Amino acid sequence: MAEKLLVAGVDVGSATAKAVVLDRDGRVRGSSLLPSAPNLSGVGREALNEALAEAGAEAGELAAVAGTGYGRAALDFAALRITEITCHARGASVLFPGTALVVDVGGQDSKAIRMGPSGEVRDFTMNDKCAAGTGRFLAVMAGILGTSLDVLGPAGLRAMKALSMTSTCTVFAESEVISLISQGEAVPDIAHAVHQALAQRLAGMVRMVGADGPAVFSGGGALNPDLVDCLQSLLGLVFQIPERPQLTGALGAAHLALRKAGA
Amino acid sequence: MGRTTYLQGQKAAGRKVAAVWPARYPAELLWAHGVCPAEVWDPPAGQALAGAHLQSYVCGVVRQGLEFLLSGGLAVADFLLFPHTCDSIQNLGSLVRDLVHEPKPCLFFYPPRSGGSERAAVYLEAQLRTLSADLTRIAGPLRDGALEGALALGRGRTAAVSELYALRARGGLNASNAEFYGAVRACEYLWPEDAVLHLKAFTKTHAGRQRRGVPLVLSGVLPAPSDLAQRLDGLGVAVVEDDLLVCGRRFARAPLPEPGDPWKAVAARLLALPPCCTTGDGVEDRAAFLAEQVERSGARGVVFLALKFCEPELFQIPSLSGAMRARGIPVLIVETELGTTTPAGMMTRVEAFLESLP
Amino acid sequence: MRVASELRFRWMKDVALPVLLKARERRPRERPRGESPLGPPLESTRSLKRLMTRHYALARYAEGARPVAWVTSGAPVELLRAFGCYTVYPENHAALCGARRMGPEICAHAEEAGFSRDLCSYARVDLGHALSGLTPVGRLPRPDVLFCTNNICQTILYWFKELSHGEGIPLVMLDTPFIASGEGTPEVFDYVAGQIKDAVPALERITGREFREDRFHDVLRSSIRASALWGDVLATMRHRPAPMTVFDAFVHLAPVVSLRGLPSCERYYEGLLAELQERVSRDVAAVPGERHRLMWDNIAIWFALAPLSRLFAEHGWAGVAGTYPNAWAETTHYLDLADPFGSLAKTYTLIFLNRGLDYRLGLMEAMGRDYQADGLVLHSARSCKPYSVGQYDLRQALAQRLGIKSVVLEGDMTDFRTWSEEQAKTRLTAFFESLDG
Repeated sequence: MAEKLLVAGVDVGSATAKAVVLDRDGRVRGSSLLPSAPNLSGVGREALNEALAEAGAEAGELAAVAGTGYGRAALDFAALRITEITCHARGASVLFPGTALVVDVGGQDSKAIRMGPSGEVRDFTMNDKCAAGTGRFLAVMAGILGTSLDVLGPAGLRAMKALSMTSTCTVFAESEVISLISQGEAVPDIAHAVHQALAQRLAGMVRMVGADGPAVFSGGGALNPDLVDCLQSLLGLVFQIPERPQLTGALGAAHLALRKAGA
Repeated sequence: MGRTTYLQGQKAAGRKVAAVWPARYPAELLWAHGVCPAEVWDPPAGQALAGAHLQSYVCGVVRQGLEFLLSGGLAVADFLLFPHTCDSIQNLGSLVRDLVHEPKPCLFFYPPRSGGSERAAVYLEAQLRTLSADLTRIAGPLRDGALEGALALGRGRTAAVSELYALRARGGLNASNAEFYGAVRACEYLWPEDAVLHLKAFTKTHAGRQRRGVPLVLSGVLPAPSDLAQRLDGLGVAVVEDDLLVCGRRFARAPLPEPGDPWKAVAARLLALPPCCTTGDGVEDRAAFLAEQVERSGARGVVFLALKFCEPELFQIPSLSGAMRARGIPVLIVETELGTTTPAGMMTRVEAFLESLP
Repeated sequence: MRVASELRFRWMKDVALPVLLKARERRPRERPRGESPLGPPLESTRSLKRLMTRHYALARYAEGARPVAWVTSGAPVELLRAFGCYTVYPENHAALCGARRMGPEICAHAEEAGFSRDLCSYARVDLGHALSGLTPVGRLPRPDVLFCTNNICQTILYWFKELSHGEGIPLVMLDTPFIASGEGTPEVFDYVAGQIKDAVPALERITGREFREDRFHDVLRSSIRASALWGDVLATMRHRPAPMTVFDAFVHLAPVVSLRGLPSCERYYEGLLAELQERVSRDVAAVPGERHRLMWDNIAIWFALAPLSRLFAEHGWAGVAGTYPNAWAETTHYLDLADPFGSLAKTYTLIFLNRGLDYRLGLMEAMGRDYQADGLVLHSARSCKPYSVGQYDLRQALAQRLGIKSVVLEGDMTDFRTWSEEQAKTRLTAFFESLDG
């Protein structure tokens, strides 16, 4: 039997499922990103298989698999289950050594994580129960504006006018956006106001854990350039953005699997 | 045996039953009048009826208590007692009596906020006598020596709970979190002698080496949601102490000197309970109390269960958690709500906290 | 040092501020009235602005010159005045922040420090101010003493304990037990009066000043008079058409809340009352064409006061009564110079927020009749539990007893993040339609 040379991290979130396969030297050999599904275990396995296929490898070659994300408990094939907080922190410090702060905006959760010098979690905070402050908030707003998440970010960058949005409760914000539309405000201006409102919520979370040091923005929210801009100017910080920010948690999980495998 | 069945048995034995809202009240006085208090903290109840009376921003303890009352869950009670614990419970009591027109008598009790002052003790004693007059109308007068007898029952119950807590803190209790809180919370409705028997039996059955787990202290109002203790078991958390308002904050950890006068003794027992935000105790006192619990039990951190819309608790959590951090004690704050199950996000936070412990 | 502060304070108070404020007023500030549905604005508003601006402007010079006390709205401030304390009301300050739409910005500082968004927004504004220094009034003086009474809510107690803990400032607290039914017992009043007496040596220690009984009596007399004048001011709204509205009352109650016991407060209400009585004699309406009369329950929605006032007026609605403004005229009749401590205890323990809902129902019913209200707006303020818990049933009971329709507005005093202007407008418009129906 061939020596088991690979490890994997699988991150099953509310919106997407992600997997990363590493070799023993910590190099990424394969990865995947799929829309999530109610069958958490199934979609996790699917993400893993896709990443394995990209790596040209098979499940039998895996020395360890770590599961994370809100679906982690369902990942029966993962020997290791670790929270997305620890995984995002690890992933960010692998990509950008010395990272002291991670902001992650995912579908259902957003979080701010403060880390110590060796990437260990010192403190963290997450959004409260309502959807305000998460990717879900942006998705709802994009829906009302008749556009998609990919378009919302670039649109916000084209804003010409500063509109103010006060509500960060999704339901109230919805009615605010609708009234802005009915007042004939332009989509880019509204999009920017939405980002500004979300960024304020995130900035509050960041300040709760402490807002300084090298910072990384991960999760799907990092793909929204206007949101990142808004948060940067609110905090006076520059965020590093991973090339594929949504994979940060899976990458961190894979590295924790690697440690477990004793490499 | 369920609570209601038990309480019906109490009535059959000639006692009266009081539905008592949180948190601090002179149980001894009720016992002395032959009244068995059954506390209403987080009864199993939906939201259907209370919603017509209470806004959505009112805390779950108040909402569920009202729901339980309106849906007939407290039919067994002869009367209701509302300690003035917070603004919401105060208004609930008045709402139930004045506007919902609950036919059962509604009594009120006000724990003074001015700490251990002599004036507070005097006022407290005056209130005990007023309450006793109300109880006389409902359950009959105090018999000679009844108050002294009730005080002895109280000492016995406190001793039994203390022993159980001490055993757990020393690592000598082989019980899950769920089992432990199930046992202690039975005191919420058991007649004190039954409570002592129950606690002693539990202590005896479960004495032994503690299960392995990360030792933590819980702070807050309730171990809520209701499945929380069980979920903590699943994560490998061993709760070793608590300053939960429903449990650890309601009995003194060490025996108290008691004045000879039984009325003064009942008042003194209330005034000597562990520090609590609801009676106006400051952060310093609570921090010292919690730190001592951590030290004595060897806990590795404190988890604050921040009950949604609970003003007295929520005001102190920033300073209290800060005071713990300043002592080098790791803390986690999680927002909780009464309800049927623990949300996944909350368990993720606890897990991440465990992962981050040094 | 003390002498320098004293001189600076006096110079500002007697020379500089009067000149400065006059100069500011001379600037033309004619606002185009446009098509306002409201009647002519009250002349007294100008003196009110002068009075309150002076109060806040002078506050920062009080540091070092006078003992500075931060006080809750339901506290027996008369005692502090006997020590010559300069008083600042965090609740009044928070309302001001709310009116200037600064609530969420200041609250955010408290929230970032860990204070839950579910907590009272007055407290969050105050704690946020303590953490950030943000305020629309330049600067608040650092308190030498915190003085609080839990007759309006228990929140006050947690909040002032937190201020005291965070800033290391001595706290004097009066515990006023809740009166669930009846008129209170001698034991309750003894307990409260005893605490007020105990506060005297405590305040002597903290302020370094002696308690002067003659001064105390003067202050009490002034306080009684100011409250009575305020009661007369409110009573002018019984007239049809009402010469001012409850929205005006919200604005004009600032002095009786925070300057009660000072001569300037009495003088102010003498002027306001005279103006209103003159209006009544000429039937000048605050809402021209007044068709309906409304009672408001709970604290104001400060950030929406003006738009709401306009919206009501547009539909011919005059707000004529409110449980909140009434609170400062409600119990002062208990004050008795022959028994200052005992009567202060009664005055401050028996306010409606410290009593059972049956009492409140009776009070609202009487107000509804006295002021001939034909509609009721209940502001359900998520910040304020003692005021809001029970409103749904009060509403039902009043509908039965008075036969009036009512509407609930979900809102807050300062935090407009939980307020939806559109939703409120729709709700109110539907309410007006149902009444005109």
